[in-house]
Amino acid sequence: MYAREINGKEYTFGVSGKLIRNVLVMYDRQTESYWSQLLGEAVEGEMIGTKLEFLPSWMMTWSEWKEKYPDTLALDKGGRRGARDVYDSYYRSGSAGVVGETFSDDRLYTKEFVIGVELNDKAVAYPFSVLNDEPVINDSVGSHDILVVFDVNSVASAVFDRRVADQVLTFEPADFPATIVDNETGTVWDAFTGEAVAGPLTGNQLVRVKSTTSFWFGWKDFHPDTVVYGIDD
Amino acid sequence: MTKRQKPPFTIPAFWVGLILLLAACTSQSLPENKTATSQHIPANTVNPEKYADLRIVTLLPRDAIPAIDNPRFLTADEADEFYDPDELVIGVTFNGDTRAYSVPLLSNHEIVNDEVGGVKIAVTW
Repeated sequence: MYAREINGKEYTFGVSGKLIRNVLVMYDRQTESYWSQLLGEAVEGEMIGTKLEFLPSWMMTWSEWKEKYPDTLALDKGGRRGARDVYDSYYRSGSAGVVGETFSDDRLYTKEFVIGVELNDKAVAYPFSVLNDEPVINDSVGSHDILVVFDVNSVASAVFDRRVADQVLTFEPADFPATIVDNETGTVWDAFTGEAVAGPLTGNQLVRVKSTTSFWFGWKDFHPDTVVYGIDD
Repeated sequence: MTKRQKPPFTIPAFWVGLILLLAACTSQSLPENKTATSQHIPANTVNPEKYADLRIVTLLPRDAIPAIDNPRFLTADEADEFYDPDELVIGVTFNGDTRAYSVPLLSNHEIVNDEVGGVKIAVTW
């Protein structure tokens, strides 16, 4: 999820038909520069080096999204029903994209989903399989203290900065998956939005940190030095 | 423009397996002022070597997979007829405007250019 306004100017994006390491390359219709989806950065053309601003979003099931946001709108699918996906057989196969893997790395199954975080050139992947058992993770990446939260039922995830008002908090599940609690102040936080809902820090908001949900092979091809949480520790 | 109008399911099956998707379920510091801006770095300040090892491979013509530029929306109750309960969506909410994008549909389009609560966004999959 990216902002498509850059320095006050609106851009629209199309599908270039090109890939970098098996991941979508977009182009903008205004300058025809190429942009790597995974990097969020222009890699060729007039806009080279420009970074897109990441915006917070969630990937989760329709039923749980609607429960949280009953007033939500939903993209009109043009009459299509159900969740059949042109990539269904691709998801199930063991193949890693089309141009092969750039870096071979069998720490995880090729198509395992991971939540990837990169901060200060340090990359960490949090596999869904690890998050299943440990849905609230207090960690540090590139000297940033972060919190990873995962809801196994809706598969929603979010990564937050654990520093609030110059204090680094550590969290554990409370009425999970709805809420988490920090050990330092006992404040209760909404695990989905990061908003403090009860206790001394009520009214504060945990800040989202950029994260990417992707297949393992896509993440490690862009971040070959990545740590895999729960595997490498 | 016939290419852009082509229904996605007519993309030859051979190609379908070739296009990859990676979820960009992404987020970042949540600015209270939701006016989204990205920093434009002038090209002459960029070290092109940084991108030299990112080999770009061409698989399809431009727009063979059609991005959605003018998305239309259903209410949640209307959508229940078309969305499975377990169907994955990418959801966003800005300034009280909340929207969900079907991931299976995104597989056919990869990109939706939209504006939500005054924030111009590109939903990418």
